[in-house]
Amino acid sequence: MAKKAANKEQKASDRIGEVRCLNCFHRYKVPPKADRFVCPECGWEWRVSWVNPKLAKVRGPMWNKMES
Amino acid sequence: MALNRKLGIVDLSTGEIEIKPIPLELREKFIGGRGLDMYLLYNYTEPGIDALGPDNVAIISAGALSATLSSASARTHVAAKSPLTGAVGSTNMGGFFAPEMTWAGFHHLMLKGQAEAPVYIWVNDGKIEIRDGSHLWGLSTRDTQNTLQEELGPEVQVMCIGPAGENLVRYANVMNGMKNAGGRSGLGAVLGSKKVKAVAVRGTMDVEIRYPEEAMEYDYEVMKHISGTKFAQIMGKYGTMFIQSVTNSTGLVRTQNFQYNQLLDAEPIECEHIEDYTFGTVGCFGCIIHCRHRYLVDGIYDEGPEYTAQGAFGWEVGCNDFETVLMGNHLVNHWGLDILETGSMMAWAMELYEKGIITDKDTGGLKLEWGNEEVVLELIRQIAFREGIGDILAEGPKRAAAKIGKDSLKYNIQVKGMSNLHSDERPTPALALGIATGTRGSDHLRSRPAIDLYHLPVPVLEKVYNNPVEYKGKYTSDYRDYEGKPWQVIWHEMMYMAIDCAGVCKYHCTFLSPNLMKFEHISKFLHYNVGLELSPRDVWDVAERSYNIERMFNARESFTRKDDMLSDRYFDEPTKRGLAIVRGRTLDREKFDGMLDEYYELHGWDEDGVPTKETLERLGLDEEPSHLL
Repeated sequence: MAKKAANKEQKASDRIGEVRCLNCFHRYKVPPKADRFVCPECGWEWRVSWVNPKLAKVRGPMWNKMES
Repeated sequence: MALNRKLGIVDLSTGEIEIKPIPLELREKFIGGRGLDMYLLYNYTEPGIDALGPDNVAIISAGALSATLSSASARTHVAAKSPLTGAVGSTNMGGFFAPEMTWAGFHHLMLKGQAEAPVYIWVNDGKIEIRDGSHLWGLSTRDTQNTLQEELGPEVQVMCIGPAGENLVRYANVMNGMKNAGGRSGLGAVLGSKKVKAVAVRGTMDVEIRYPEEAMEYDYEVMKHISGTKFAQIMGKYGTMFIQSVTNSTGLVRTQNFQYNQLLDAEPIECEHIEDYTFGTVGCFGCIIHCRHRYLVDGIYDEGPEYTAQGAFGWEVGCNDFETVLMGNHLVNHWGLDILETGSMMAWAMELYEKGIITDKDTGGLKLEWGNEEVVLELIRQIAFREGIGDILAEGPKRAAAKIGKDSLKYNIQVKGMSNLHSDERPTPALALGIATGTRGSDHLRSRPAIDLYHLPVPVLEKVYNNPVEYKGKYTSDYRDYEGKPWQVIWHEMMYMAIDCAGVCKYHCTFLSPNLMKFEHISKFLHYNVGLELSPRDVWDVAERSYNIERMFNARESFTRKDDMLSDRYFDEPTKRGLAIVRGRTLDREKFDGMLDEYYELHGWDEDGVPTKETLERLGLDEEPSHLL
């Protein structure tokens, strides 16, 4: 039971700052407190916001790079 | 036993009140909430009745788990024949009304007939009275509630209509609290037609919990799990507005009616801006997520806003101002309008104006231009009070189009006469199928397989969707695919119906996250709290039975396959914006028809979408209406 809980905690901590690119669906980790990040897979740049110090979310694209 | 709450029947024409126990047989067939409401609606109405006439019934219910040790079981459901569509009318809201009604001794209230003058219904500890409501007529939803709480006590909960309902706006809502809204289907107008301004409830009757210690422990386990998910944490901070971070960023939002699928430069209305206006988040009765903000704008307090407010007063009408979103949200709550229909009708009117189909002559000089924030707020008022062009827009898509003429309906994004959510389903066939087939009309809350947007791996899809009934077909992770999607839509139909029967909030189930409650959780909550012994498969069967009654109601009103269809614009106009993966997309007509065929077959319906005799026999519906209650 203790090992299972420890594994679960480890998995949770591995995923701190993890977001998913909406363009290619690649999961990547955003550096703490970063407000933007480039997807290492497809190169699309996203603005990022933080729900709490451990949980990042995609805020939106760089609007000046979005084709109209 | 725990399930001893009753049905109260109020005849507004004669003043008679009848109180009936609900037989266990019906609980086992329909559980309660939306399921039992639909059984009552089918049994107590005849086909072809006027939805705004005395023969329609309005049924207000708490779910079977209301006021128990099952968190987030605070939902109120209202059912009637819809004055907007003529189909099943069904709407659902959070807040505190349902638990209070349960403590007052009732799980279901049926209002039939019509009062001669405005009334309100008072429900208190097993008794029901019809009281004079003339002093409430004309008040906003908030003033109505404040007035009744001053008269009856601060702990009284009130469900009411606003001026829009009094004015029979066909998409008037019912409200409880600041922003708990039963918006869809126009059931506020049904209450308005009956001259019922409000239902006030107060109760102190105990609700027996069948296995209280086990119920408490199980609820703790489930809620601990839910609160630990990313979804719950994000919802608790931003509310449903966070969805815009995904959908608008991708290009999945209906913008300027249907002309675009993304609002560019949308930074000003991103959800993070709520932090400049909020006092903190609040929740419904028994909820741990607390997904809505209490905010202050221009000296006015309100709660929310939801994703639909960003859509209605943001991208749909080409506005990019957060305060317009907040103020629009307040006005629809204040006057009692469905936010979604209001935004859609305004956007439609703006496109008609852009194309010269309606002109300044029709609008009384009001410039229905995209992004005109003052016009947006003025239009809400005109709709609520049926003034100017608002009087036409108040009729809903089909009737308004009939008045305007000039082929105007083809520009409206509606199904069965009800407007779509401010989302664009051209790139997402599963979501498109869901809105086309929704029993109450174009709908994102009765079948949306929203988790399809997450590109979940097939093994995860199998784990979710093969329980409690297995699908033998193939699943696909890509939301642009068609394969496997009909089953996903059906699974979510059943899930949301089960949740609505129990009275639990959809944000606690597999709506926006695959890691939340499913059929097995509903089964256990029912067992521990109210002693209903239904396996996960039994819960599915109840949901299927209840969904088929909705379908039977619609078939009785002559809705068939032709009504399970989307606007031609979905098939003919490619998307123009968004990420490369969604740009240039339309729905494929042949593939969509193929999905619809599979959907009907999986449901056990004929090629016209009508439940077959075999399906009705299997579900025990072949003798409906049975008049068991």
